[in-house]
Amino acid sequence: MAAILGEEHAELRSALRRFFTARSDDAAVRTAMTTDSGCDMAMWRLMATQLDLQGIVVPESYGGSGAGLTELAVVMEELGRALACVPFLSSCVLAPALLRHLGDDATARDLLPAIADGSLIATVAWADPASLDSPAGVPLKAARRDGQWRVTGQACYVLDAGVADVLLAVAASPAGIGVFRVRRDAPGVFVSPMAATDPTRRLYQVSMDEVPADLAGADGRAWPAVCATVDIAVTALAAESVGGALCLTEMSAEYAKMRVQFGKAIGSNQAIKHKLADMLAAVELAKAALYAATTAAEDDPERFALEARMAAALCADAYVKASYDAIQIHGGIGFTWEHQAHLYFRRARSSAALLGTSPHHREIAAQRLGLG
Amino acid sequence: MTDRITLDQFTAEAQAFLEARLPPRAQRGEFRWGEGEDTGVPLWEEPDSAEERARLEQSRAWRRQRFDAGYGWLDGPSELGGAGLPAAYARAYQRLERGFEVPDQSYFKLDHVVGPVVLKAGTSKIRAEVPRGLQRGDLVACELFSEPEAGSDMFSARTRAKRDAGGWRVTGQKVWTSDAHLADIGIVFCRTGDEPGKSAFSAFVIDMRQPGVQVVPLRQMTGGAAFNEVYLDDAFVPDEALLGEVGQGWYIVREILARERAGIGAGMGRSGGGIANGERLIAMVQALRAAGDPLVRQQLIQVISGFWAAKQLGQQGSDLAAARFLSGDPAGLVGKLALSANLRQAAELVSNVLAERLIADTGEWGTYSWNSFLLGEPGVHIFAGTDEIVRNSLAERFLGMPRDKDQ
Repeated sequence: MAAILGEEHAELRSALRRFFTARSDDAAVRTAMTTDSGCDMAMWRLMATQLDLQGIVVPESYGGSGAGLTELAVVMEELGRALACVPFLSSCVLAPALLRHLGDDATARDLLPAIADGSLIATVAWADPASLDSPAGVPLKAARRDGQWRVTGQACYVLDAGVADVLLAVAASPAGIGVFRVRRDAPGVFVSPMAATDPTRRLYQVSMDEVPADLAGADGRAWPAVCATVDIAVTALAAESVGGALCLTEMSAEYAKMRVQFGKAIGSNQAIKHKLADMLAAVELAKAALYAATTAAEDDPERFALEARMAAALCADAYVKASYDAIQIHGGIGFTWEHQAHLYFRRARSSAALLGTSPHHREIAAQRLGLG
Repeated sequence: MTDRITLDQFTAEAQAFLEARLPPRAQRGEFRWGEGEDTGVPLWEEPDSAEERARLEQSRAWRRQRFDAGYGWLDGPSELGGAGLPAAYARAYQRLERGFEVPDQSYFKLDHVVGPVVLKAGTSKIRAEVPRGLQRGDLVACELFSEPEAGSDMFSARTRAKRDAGGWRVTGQKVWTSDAHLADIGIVFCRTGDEPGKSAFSAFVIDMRQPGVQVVPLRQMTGGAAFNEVYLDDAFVPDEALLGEVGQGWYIVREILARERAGIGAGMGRSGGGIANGERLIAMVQALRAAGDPLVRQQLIQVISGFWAAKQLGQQGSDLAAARFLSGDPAGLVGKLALSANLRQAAELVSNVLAERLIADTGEWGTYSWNSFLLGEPGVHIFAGTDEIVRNSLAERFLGMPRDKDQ
């Protein structure tokens, strides 16, 4: 057996779990989700000062930890387990990945150190989830007028735009796809929250009307960076989903041992046993797939591109399945607002569409396998 | 103690030994649809007996040759016939040997399933003969566990061992025994007492070539016979053949089964090749011009992903640091369940793509021959632990659910 996760990963996980168990419990999540921002910014600051977490995949030369996708996945798992209401996926995964792949040192130097210490929040405005894999799907347009780039259009499903300081807008210019840095408070930027299934992760409609912007990277040549970022994003999201699914498995097993009906624990019944076994199996398999993909990220980009999508589908499906099964095992109480189960259900469903559905990921995988 | 040869020296000498005797392993080219014999993908090997005996002989000959040259049982204790080298040397040799065309060793797969258990629990005579015999190819083993009345419930076994002069007389019927027709020895699980519970059972090493042992092929739904029934009629086992103590049969068998299961999730023994890596399924989909069908593409990726994830879990094991609520690593059992699910999905994909070409033979290569796969697949859900037993075990042993039998 060749375990991918070792001592250091276990220690990292342990520290994170202690932190989030204390700070992102059910009460904290429910408080955060009713705020305007939907985020627990006090916890966000502590994540920076106590755990140095925001810079995890930011290269060391830009003030981060320079960790790889495997370490990031451990962090995402724990965030997912806790339903942490913070703009981590956008600011600490999407934005740094895009900036790293654009290869624009000046912009990176400008933004990454502040992203890494949590003082700046960035997000990415790009195509709708179903259209992320094609340049034709990019809704924003960029044009250069009197020496100034301006971005126009509407992007939906933008993560955390309400708390972001900087938006990295993926836009189509005459030369092709480019990435444009936009200040959230720039004239012409309108950010409105979308009513959403998952109250623990805010999604926004962002309209831009000739918004002044700075080009990051080379004009018209950003598409490969966008593609690479999508694959990293789906992997990070997959890890978050696995963390949630494992939490639900644990929660459901606990409940099944505790809840007594007809004079015995409900977990005595084979129907419940088998449901739990299937939940556990799905999560374990998805998680192993995930970490196979994360290890491919550094040394085998072609293999990563394929495995990221297969893992993404497996993890999304495992989480959705776990969220149904958890409600079922909990019975009536699992169907209440007050019980945690529906928060995970909402997160699972939302994550299963946020960067493309499982069938979409499988279709991309089929293409990457060369299936004409 | 003499100075041990260094690992580097050992590796160099082993390489030279292999190069002198075996051809290098042929580069396994991409599977090409339409090439070679249309054997389909049988899940249970149902060999022609003359061909099988010839293959077994080749296998034995190779084992003997390498054992006598000092390359058999590398990490076995030297006083029992092993080379007494550290595990690293054994691994190094295995790695080297994989680069050469070696006769099929699967007849001796029990050498690392049964061998270690015999080493731990056998009497000095058995320890001296059996592990060495398995390693050298002198002995082929089989497992005599299941009975018509004792499948999932091993404690319903009726095969009985009665004390006799110098040993025991065993009478009963065993079923689903792989390789019994080839075996020299078997591990027999039988009743030695009348009390309720585990302690009424013991395990022995039995000589399969004595008159009281009759092997009859068991015809399965595919039409062939990959397994046997074994009729034991006053078959003799000497006292020295007892494994562990009287009443420890369950522990012996449980350990053997656990070791066997660890191997099953990773592969299917001699059969089922080409499915798990997706090659054959992709080739089928393309050859039948179904690669553009969105539903087929979805199903194909689901099957490929399923096998890939199962392989990954088998290699990585479970991350117990993240899941302290688990009492141990469930990867082996999950692997068994995953194999069942993956093969079922593969069967469905094949059925959807081949459609009527699966149910009647048009003569086209690679179509009707999938019947062996189709008809063999239901057995996967039953052997070495039914899907239902595996789910129960996962829930009870790893998730802490109250056991069925305690209620």
